Amino acid sequence: MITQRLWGSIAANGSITNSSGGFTVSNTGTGIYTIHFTTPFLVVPAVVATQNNYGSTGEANTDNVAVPLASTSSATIITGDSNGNKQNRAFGFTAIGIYAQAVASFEILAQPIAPGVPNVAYVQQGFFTQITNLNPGAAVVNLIYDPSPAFVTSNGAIDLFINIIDQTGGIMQYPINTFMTAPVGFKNISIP
Amino acid sequence: MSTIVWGSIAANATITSSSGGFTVRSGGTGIYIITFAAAFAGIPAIVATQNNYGSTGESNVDGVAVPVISTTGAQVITGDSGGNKQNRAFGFIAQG
Repeated sequence: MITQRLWGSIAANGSITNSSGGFTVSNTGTGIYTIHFTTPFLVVPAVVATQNNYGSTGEANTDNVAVPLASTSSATIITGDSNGNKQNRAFGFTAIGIYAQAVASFEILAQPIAPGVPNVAYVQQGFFTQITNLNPGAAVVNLIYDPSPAFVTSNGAIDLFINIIDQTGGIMQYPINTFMTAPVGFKNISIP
Repeated sequence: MSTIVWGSIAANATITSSSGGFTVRSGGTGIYIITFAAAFAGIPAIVATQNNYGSTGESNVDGVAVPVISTTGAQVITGDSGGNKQNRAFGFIAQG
């Protein structure tokens, strides 16, 4: 498991005062900021935030920050005064979450739809490919294969999957959307 | 060298995502009891914010406090803007 930690000190107008990089900020309304993560997390991250740099010790300790919306690709921050009235306020935040799984190995499976024989997995027809990648981190592969039996191109009608086996032996399956017909194969498969 | 434990916790005290290394259970309305699998060497610093209320209609005063911290666990309280304890989703980072 590889952790991504993004942090930023954000001015009241939504500009980035200082940061880890890896995100953008938009001041989408009074007291509302949307943070877009450049590289999405694999799962929803934990996001913590506090108002920063109000400018005087006259600030109320109840001038808080909440994160009402968080997803793998963005988080929405709201700021305001101690009465809950939204106001643009400077804040600092940290978003931490799972960025990638260390890949022990992965395998490509194709599930052709043949006339009269729907949903027969290639692995059951003797087609099986496994590539071992012992280097943890992201991987991009181009896979060319000779289909057997003969492959009938039918873009959009064939479900392709990749099984990712992480270092714990756990398997996660992802669909593959990029398919090329000449030569037959899969290209630019991103292994998260 | 410090250790970081983090989690995104749903209002019902289930773990949405996390670093692992802790369990969490409800200790009552708006009270969450976190137990670290391995004790920190010293009292960790814990920061937490309400996450995933579900709409931007949430009050920014809907806060989180961590009134009890030890090397082996912490108690987190959540609630509404009036200080009334309510079960709320939150994210936290414990570092120590």
